[in-house]
Amino acid sequence: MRTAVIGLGNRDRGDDAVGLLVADDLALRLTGADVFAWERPELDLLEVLPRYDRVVVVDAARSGAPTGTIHVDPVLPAADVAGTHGFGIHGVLELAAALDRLPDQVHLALVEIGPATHGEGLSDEVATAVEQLVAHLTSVLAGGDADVPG
Amino acid sequence: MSHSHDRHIRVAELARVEGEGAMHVTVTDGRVDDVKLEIYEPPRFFEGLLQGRMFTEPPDITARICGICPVAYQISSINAIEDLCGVEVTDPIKQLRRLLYDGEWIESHVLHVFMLHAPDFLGYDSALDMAADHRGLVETALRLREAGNALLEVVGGRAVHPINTRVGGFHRAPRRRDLWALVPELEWALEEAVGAVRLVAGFDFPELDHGHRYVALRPDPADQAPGCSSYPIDGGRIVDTDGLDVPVSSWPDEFEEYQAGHSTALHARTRDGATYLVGPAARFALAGDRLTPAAAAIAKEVGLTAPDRNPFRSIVIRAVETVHALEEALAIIDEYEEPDESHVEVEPVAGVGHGISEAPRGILYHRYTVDGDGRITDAVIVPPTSQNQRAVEEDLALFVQAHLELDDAALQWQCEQAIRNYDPCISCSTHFLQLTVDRR
Repeated sequence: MRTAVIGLGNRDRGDDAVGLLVADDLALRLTGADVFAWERPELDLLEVLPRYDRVVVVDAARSGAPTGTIHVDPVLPAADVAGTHGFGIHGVLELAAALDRLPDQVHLALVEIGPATHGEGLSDEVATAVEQLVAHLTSVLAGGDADVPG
Repeated sequence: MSHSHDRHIRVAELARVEGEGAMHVTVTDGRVDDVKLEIYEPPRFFEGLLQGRMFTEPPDITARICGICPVAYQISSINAIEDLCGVEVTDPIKQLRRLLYDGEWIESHVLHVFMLHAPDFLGYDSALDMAADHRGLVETALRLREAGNALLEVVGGRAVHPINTRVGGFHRAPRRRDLWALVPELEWALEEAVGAVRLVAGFDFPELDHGHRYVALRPDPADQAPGCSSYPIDGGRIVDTDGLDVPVSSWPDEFEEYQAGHSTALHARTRDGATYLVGPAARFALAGDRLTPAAAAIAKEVGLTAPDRNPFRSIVIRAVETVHALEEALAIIDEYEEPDESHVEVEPVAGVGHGISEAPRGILYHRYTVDGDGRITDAVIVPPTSQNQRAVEEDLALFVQAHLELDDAALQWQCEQAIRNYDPCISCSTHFLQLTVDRR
């Protein structure tokens, strides 16, 4: 099964880098999957999605849950997913579905963040969430079972 | 529900992290009193970040300011540093920079024309809704964007935050065969782009005639490398529709940023206090005679004449500029020969350097002060979006005044469309304004 993990975010906006940092960690640990720290506009994902059977997207969310909360395959309003400078991941996935570009399996892993700050560096809560989510995804993508952390 | 009496329309926040801001419109006794538009400005953070950095670092650092137009930030920063250091680059380096910029114009303009703006005119809430009825149009747009991204990848090393650019040229010059491999797709894209101009020129455009001064670059034809046009993109003198014609170093003498009071973002105006506008319409007004042949022909065919002061028709001009960028890219690839050296060596010079290039949205000004060790002691970055902000506010005031009969939801939608005419970085989301109405 061709698998990709795509981390989204902005390295210069504090906790909004969470998806990228999860991808950076996973790139060092995973074999058998392509890992992208995706700093391109989300719309460009439409080029990449059709190449895979399974895609895990990691991004930030602002739904009002406590900072650092991890949602895996959540049911969240699209507006609560903090898309940066683009359509937002929900919009892109919907468009991919409309254009028959969606992989067989698409999973979202979202980390709750507070207001995005300037500069690099994560809040303590989100830094902890990164470690937990990396461990979770490493296990799941290796074929293991793991409860959603948090 | 009263619509024509006192109204205070306040936009609480924009929906996306890079679109943080607010819009306030106050209507008193049926007249628009005030429009305040706040747009988040990432350059402010980067100006501080650049202090203490080496003079070679701005291209890599400033590229992170914008994921849609990183090349614009790179080229403006390179222009400023090379201006200070007295650098002259070779024709192949000029060709490659132009190719890189053409790629960015293509992907940025196509994104805006098809995915952000066309849905407004076709009566759809979003590109997603439009895709249900116009799948072929959306597929074409995505393929056109990929053609632009391919140029960025071959010349710049990757499609966003290109890694191959540097002060003095490039880290590595692309092979001629790698560029030639792009030709079939670029030729397909050119034909489609011409068709796109015909499509968007047929939209119904609301009437709006602003009186703003247009400002753009005007390059010297003698400075252009083989294959490169002299339509403004990566350098030139500053010109405007009131007769201004000055070097780039005169930007601070002719224009100024100021604190608008209601906003954390700085606004811009001419030194004599006038509002001005930059972007595709300004370029077309001041240099439309320099478009490539196919772009000039399709502009004439659809009846586009310079100057065009209706901001709603900016979508047509962007489509014409997409044709131009594609045709120019093909001409450059045809002429390109791999250089012996991918860059010229640059030694630091103490002083102040000024650089401007034409981002897809308009002129982008960089200024760096560098000390004797080559370290940046001060940086000023003025993006096109903030230069246009005052014009956008004034045009919004006109627009709201003419549409007071609309309810709040419809008015919000109209305001979003009006702002999209200027393609500011906040408008990437379909719904970036959350409008609340306080009734008095």
